[in-house]
Amino acid sequence: MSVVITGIGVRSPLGCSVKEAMENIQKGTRCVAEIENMDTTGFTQKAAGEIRRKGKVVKTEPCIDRKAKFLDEAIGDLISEFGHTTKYTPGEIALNVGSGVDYVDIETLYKKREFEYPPAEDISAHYKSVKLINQIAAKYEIEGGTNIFTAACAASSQAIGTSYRMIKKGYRKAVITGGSDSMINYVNYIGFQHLGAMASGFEAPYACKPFDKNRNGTILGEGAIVLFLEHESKAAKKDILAQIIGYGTTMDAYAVTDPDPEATSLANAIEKALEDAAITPEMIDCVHLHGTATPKNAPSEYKALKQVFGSKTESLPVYSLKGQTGHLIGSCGALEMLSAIYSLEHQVVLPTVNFTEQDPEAPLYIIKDKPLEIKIEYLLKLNSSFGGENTALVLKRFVK
Amino acid sequence: MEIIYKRYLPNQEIPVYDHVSRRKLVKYYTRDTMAAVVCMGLLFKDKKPASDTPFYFSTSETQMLDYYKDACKVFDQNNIPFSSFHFIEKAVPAISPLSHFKSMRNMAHCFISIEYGLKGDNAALLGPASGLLVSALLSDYKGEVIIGAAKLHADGTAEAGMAKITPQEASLDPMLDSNREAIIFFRKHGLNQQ
Repeated sequence: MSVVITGIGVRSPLGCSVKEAMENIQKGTRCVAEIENMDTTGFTQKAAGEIRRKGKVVKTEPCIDRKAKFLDEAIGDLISEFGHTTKYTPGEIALNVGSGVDYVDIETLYKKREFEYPPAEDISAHYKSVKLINQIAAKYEIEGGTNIFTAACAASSQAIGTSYRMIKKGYRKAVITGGSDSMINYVNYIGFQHLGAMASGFEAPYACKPFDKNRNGTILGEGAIVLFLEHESKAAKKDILAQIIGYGTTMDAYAVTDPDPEATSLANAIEKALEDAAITPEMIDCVHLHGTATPKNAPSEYKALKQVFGSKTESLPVYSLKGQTGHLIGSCGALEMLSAIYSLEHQVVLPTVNFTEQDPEAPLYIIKDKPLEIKIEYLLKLNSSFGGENTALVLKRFVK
Repeated sequence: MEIIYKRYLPNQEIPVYDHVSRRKLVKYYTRDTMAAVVCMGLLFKDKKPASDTPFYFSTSETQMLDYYKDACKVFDQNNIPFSSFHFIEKAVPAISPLSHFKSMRNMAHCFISIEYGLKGDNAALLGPASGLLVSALLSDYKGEVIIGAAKLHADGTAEAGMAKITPQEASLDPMLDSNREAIIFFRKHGLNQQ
């Protein structure tokens, strides 16, 4: 008996419902465009994957912390549309979410003159991730604990992996898990650009080019995505979207800004996840990679796969969603679970949007132009962070 | 369980250089990261941990908006209203590039992992003690794991704690189901041990 995914709530560049998001994943819709929710006069890069509903950017006032607002909405949708929480008592359900850096609304900070005072416990609530997320847990009567994961780009994957372990080991009966992040604001967007990881020189929809020879950086996205995890024995078969059967996490301990070029720790995370799933590398049918479109990411992921899959690597289909949506940082792993579920349900590996030219330093099997129809029983999902945390999740198709 | 807890007052020097080999990285440290590095140094002063030892670390709610004070003051000093253009032209140069690293939640976890070559099971967390203890108890590792937490107060006071703990010890701790900050676990146990 495994841990299963039986519900999804979503606010993302792909849309604000599961149906809309899955349709856009299928179509390969480019959801990155020039930023609309704030004035970007003077910015040298203006591209981002903002949250959209039916194609239109969902706008908010500057005083709103988008990652908190949309997490609240995504959990609300998950509970109202799927209704699984009623099977459990409030204390049997935990909330584990990945999140990012705090929202620093510098415009309001300045206008309210808060910068004149020493920052303190009672400063505006929208600088307080813990407070906001605890409020959301209380609103939806989730009383089995609230845990916030902060491993940057691997935050939501660590949240999902820990949730899987909680249920597998009987610590909690169900978990609402995923991630919520938005860095599309003055301080965090420019800060990210200064770290040197952002793409430049391309038109917005084409700027994020995972695995492509001409990639030169990533583009920020935003979103809140939550999954309902429970034990298979408690779930109705008709509700099961996919199974999670393995999880591994490791640390590069190499550098703050760069992945370990030898990728030994990432390979180790994969091996741990496969061991946990009790399957061999030969059984993996496709890999959904982190695929950020930064120059160092693709060779590193290729080397990790090579260590685990050997000669099979060049024929193992891989995929990245980020060309479509941008990089959601603290919630990217959660959003990418939707494309993983899509692959398992439809038995396809989708083309990676904006990939056109193979990089000889990362000779991966990337799908172009049209979906690759193959039998997918086991899917491997990877994420790695700025800072060195690596995660690997093994998902299995559920036949209803 | 073996535990080290340290608290440093606002102007108190934190002896971080006694405990790091990669001294150039210290400029990226916040005061709470420095305190955590000291605790780690004291916890493992006799023998470094094995590289596969799991390491779970929790930071606290932010109180570090002073990074952005200088950027705000630029608008006052130049008597200009807030605008995107002025933000880029005037405020951005006033924000230290180091603040981007200092505002990232997983940096203490990252720096300590680099210093000690920790490559095993891990989690970077924020807030409650429960997440930290749950991560430890769910570990499959045979033996003690490392947990830690740090907090930087508004006045510059920094506190941190690091501990070697077994999954069984984590499972029995009363703070396992607590929404109270992780640093309180170390404050409580650390003061008891002193």
